[in-house]
Amino acid sequence: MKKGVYIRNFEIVPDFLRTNTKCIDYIAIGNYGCTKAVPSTDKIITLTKELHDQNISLHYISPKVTQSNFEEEYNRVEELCKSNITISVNDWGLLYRLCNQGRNKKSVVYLGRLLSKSLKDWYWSNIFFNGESNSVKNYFYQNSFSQQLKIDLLKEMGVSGIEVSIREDSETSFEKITDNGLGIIGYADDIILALSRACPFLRFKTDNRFVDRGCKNCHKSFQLRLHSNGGINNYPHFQVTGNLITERNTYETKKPYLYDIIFANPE
Amino acid sequence: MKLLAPARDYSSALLQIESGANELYIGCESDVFKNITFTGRGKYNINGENTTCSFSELKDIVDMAHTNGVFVMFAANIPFFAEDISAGKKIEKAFIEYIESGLKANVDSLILGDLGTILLLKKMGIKSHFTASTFFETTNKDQIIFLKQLGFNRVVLSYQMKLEEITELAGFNLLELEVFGHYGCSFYDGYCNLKHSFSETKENYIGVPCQKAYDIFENNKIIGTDHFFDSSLACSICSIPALIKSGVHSLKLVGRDKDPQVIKTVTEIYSDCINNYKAKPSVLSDKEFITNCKSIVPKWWAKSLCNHSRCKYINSSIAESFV
Repeated sequence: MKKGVYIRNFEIVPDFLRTNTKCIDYIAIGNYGCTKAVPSTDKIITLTKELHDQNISLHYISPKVTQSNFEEEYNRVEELCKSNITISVNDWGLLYRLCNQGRNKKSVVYLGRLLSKSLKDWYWSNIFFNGESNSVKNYFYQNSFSQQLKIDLLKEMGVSGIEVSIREDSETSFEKITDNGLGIIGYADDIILALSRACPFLRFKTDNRFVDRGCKNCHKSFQLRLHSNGGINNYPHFQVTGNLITERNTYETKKPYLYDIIFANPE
Repeated sequence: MKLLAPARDYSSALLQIESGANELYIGCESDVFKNITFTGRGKYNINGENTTCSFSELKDIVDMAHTNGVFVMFAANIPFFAEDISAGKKIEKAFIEYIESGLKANVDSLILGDLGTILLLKKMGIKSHFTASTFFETTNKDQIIFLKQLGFNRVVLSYQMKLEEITELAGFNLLELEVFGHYGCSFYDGYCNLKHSFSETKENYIGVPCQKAYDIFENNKIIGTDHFFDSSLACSICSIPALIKSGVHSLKLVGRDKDPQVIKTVTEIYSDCINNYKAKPSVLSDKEFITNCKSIVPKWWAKSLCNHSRCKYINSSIAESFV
């Protein structure tokens, strides 16, 4: 198992490298929801070369794309594949084209966290499955890519593995995935709750209550708590970074051997 | 452009057809579950009403719909499919039985929500018209090509689309395109782990997370309270001419869990607006069309929706924040 950190703000990577590179095998950069929040291809490739000198590898998280920004992101990912950067892809269309158009065969592509799922990631899954049988619960708490047909499809597409949020209930299904020759990249510190195309940082950019707002500060986070409980079931404490909503993951895996890489947040 | 409306039983199906729906979508219950279903929603709404029908009722609904020239889509779009490790693979078996029962009732299309379901049905040689649910979050041409290769005939685009993107995708003529007409989600539905309306009761009601007010903290200091996530877009009647011209196949109205009488009103208004446009498309300017439509919407609709803040497919502060 290799260790890595996921650094959302590309600008702090040089400072991080100066002070924190012991026991780090990977640095992940990129974004799940916005192509404007990722660094340029040139900057990424330059960083790759700097990291190479320190025996650190780079992992790039490619965002969900739409028809409007597809080509821009595809060109970036295709170029990064030539530089043997590990990439996780969060859009089926981009993954399909990448796997069909003769990318560099040495490049390593993973299915991103937006595309691999377990219903245990549903925050209120305990309520929904409360009355169901144990066999139904066990079924839905697996990762959906434990299904053999999907594993076969990913291998046919040349995908090396999947990314997941590390969860205890899903680890049995992770074993099936790794037994079938796919790798797993785990994220230890957060669980993705939702992604919005309507970025709140942009929606509130003219609102004077928010000091850090707009695109240039989107790597910074707001924390949100439900204003009035009103007898409603517990809500998570949200973390909002750009258009991505997460919550803290408190589970510490007892099976690190399952994971090719485990990424943590440096903050 | 067809109008696709939700139904949950015979009377609501008839209501939607009489209100002008050209297509219906409906789901059934399954014995393998208590509260959840294969339909992508829970079995009951917050009032404890069953939002699915039995298979014998489905047959009657399909027969009635076909008599009226209405296309029936069968919801099998549970957004998850895994390896069945249960004894006898009872969940996978139950899903196959669910599909086969729907086909036996002569449904016209199967709505699927997970890659694993189309892969399984193809492996079993089950043939049908297949629709890729919005849970796939299709937003670009290459994903449509991918879905076509998998065997889909129609795709429901993401809630989070701009009109120019829909027009461009429709122009490729790859698959039938279905877009959302009324109401919507603030988040990408297929990636949302804040799922609600999945058979909660009044006692454990979650609410709609993206519409709630939140206290907002920055560096551990509260800086305000706001509906921080709420970016759902609601109404598209003013975009009907543009959607028809773009070549969209179907306009989808949601609300299987809502009061059928409320959905009936929505269906009637959309049907009237679509038919008004189709009656004289070259005579009526878009501005005249919008004026005509606004004159037929009820007061509650005009008051909450005709203030340009929740318009689908038209420039708004929400659409301007799309990344």
